[in-house]
Amino acid sequence: MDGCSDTVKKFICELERLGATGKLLRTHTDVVKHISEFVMEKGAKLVLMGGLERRLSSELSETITSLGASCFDITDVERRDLRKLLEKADIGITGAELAVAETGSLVIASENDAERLLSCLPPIHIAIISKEKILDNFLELAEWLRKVQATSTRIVSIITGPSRTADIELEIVMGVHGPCEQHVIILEGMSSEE
Amino acid sequence: MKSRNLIAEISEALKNKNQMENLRTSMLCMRDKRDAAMAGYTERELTELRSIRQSSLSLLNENIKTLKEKLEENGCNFYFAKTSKDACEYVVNLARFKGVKRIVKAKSMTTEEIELNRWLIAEGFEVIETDLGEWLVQLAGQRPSHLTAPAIHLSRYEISKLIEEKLGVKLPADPKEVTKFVRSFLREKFLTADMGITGGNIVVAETGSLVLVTNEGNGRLVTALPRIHVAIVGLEKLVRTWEDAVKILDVLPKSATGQKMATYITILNSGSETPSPNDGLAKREFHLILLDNGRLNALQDEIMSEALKCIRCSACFNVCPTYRVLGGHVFGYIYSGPMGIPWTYISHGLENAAGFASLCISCGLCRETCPIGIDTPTMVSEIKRRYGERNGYRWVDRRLAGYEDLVKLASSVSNVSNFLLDTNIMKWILEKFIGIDRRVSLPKFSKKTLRELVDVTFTPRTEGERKVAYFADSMAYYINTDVGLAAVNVLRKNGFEVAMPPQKGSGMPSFLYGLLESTKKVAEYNVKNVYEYVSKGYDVVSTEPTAIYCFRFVYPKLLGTKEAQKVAERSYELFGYLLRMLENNALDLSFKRYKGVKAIYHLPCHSRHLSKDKPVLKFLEMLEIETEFIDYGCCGMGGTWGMKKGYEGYEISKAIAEPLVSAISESDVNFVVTECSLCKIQIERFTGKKVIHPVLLLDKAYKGLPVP
Repeated sequence: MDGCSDTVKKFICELERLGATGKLLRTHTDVVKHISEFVMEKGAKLVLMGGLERRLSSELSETITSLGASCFDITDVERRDLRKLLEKADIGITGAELAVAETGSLVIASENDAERLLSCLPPIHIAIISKEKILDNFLELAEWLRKVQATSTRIVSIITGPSRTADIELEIVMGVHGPCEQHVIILEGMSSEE
Repeated sequence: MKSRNLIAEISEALKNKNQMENLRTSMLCMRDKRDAAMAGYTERELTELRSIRQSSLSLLNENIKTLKEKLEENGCNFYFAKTSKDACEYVVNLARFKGVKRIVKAKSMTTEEIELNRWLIAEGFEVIETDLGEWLVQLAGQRPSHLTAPAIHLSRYEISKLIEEKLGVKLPADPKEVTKFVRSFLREKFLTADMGITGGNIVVAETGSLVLVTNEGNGRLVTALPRIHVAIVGLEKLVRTWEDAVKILDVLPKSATGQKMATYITILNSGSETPSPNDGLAKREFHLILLDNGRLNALQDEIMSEALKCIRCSACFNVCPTYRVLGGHVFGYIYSGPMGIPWTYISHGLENAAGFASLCISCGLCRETCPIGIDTPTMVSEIKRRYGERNGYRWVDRRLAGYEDLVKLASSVSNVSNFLLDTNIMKWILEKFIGIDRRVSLPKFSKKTLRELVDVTFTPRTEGERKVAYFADSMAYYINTDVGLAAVNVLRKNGFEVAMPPQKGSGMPSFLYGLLESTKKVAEYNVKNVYEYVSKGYDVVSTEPTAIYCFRFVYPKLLGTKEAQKVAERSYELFGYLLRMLENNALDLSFKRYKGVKAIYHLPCHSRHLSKDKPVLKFLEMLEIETEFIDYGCCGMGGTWGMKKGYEGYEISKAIAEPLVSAISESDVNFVVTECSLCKIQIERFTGKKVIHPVLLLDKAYKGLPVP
């Protein structure tokens, strides 16, 4: 984690404590390489994406498809196929509006539930967030939440680690109804690419 | 309404040793995790939380109006349900009208409160709970026994047996395997449900937003897949702004499960578009039902309105001594645990609340652990009072409530009393005619009262700088007079002029049984007499934590006077007081050290409220006594409660004390140290080890004598 700011370090440390992972990458190319390798490693057959920057999602889709798996941005999918694909997807990839270092939380605002289900239904969720969007403290969210909820009907999900339960004898088990795995990619500079 | 046979329920629960052991271990673990997560919260932040909850309730009408407007602006349906019947009928009619067949639910105590499942199932709808614990409880045909861990009473073995019995699926007794099975079993239900029902943790008025907190992710699926979403939320969950909401969201998971943050928070202000199985995106219907069901009445109730500040974190369950051994099915109606007593009163009436309120022993730990500082003990005593006024108090409760008068009377003929107390015939009489268990050995009276033994100022003086009014309370006054004498010596040694105002016992016994009129009379007497000293510059000091607990928290609330407030501000437990002097370098440190002496320290519940510092431990360290601090929480005595015969008190009290007793019995310490005279009785009777008030040690140390 050399060269990470304290906020990023804290964020990654919290993610790891939660049983998720956090990785700081420098460019889109690194992200595409990292994710496509991960997809192959997991043997995933269907990857769905939503809420990502157009160029990034095209690159991801192209690379992953070339490696033999299916990969779509949900905005490119026929609407009537959406549900079936979401039910089948092995990995969901989303962006995130904000993150909170203190708690290891991601904040995602979804236009519709197809987007929201990307981080609910598949067993693996990957989120990509730019470094600048990581806040230090949870309480800083108040103003943003007010603005989003006052001006839109977007659903906000604050996600802190993989799905978990401790309902049986307080033993912690991951992946009850939501993803069993969560991986967060922190992008060093969305705009300053090589 | 079926009246309960609580004694039978208790004896059944106490036989289930495995469940008791599991529950106890779980509650201790949750308590410790919670305390660690909350350690960073300052007093100021907690006070702020309390005022957020307070102001949310004062602005209720305004908030409801804003919420309704915002929701309707966003095309949602808002319904205000006056009663549980109204709420259930709304859901039933909606489901029927929309042709719903299958309903998935996320965990919601509010829908338990109104028994919504019963209504829906009676109308032929299929209702599936999706929170793992709640699903297990539903499968078992039970109700949740804990607010945030509904199936905490079931062991892994019982769970795998249950699944085999009900579904014919054989699973190993392993939480991982069970969870894996439930994931795929319920996934299909989520995907095929027509309606999703949730509760809500917070509703934010300013933007009309529902906030839903879960860990498993079922709350997300319930609100993202079905074509209709109904949220049923108690009206106390409304807050005005997002600033208020995030502060509650920040504390809730910490206080609930010791997590820094819950895994999923879903925030929505309308029904969004969902990908339907075969028809592209379709807009979901969103209905928000705001539930009254007794809450507005409670808001007008000076004492019970306090319960509406509850954020449902369940921290009070983890520390409650009787809940910990009996579980939520005995210690509860539908709502269980400490908060369950006032909440049952609010939503299910006095009779049902009084049905298990007698299990509260007024240790006050619920109040101490509550992030909002909700005064549950006072509400519980008030429920006991209201029930007692309407239906008569129980004979034994009335007698034990007057325990302090009894002590005073018996002390006046101490020779006779001491002789009689040892006889079997007297023990039989006490059990038969009062209800005190015959196994209880009542402590012996001092031949003279403390007042007769000690030469202290009787009238307050104005001159002099360091002045203390010593409040002995019944035990140090009539029985353990050595404690009173030692306290006076220690204070004098440090240059204090010590006075003893006219005083009666603290009144805790009558508070415990809800005879609040008696408590109030005692409070008036003590405050009036002590105030005379306080107004002349005296501090009030006691060796009995319960006495100071009463001065600080019980009297001001019961009396509501300026004098009571003033006295509260100047009341100190002796060792907290001495610690302050130590910190100001004003304490005489010329005392003997006791190297090689070993002790266990037990912290009395009422001391926890008075100081976070555990001052006695610091003094034991200074005395160089090798001390082990054992923290199992309450010892289970509850003043006179643990004296009640059989399953009304004694047996439960003994079960509560078990881990503390075995830890002490197994150790090789010379003695046990604790400030509370009732904890002393409890520990001595079950361990046989000597229990000493720390002031006796300090007094001996000042005199250079060996430990008692």
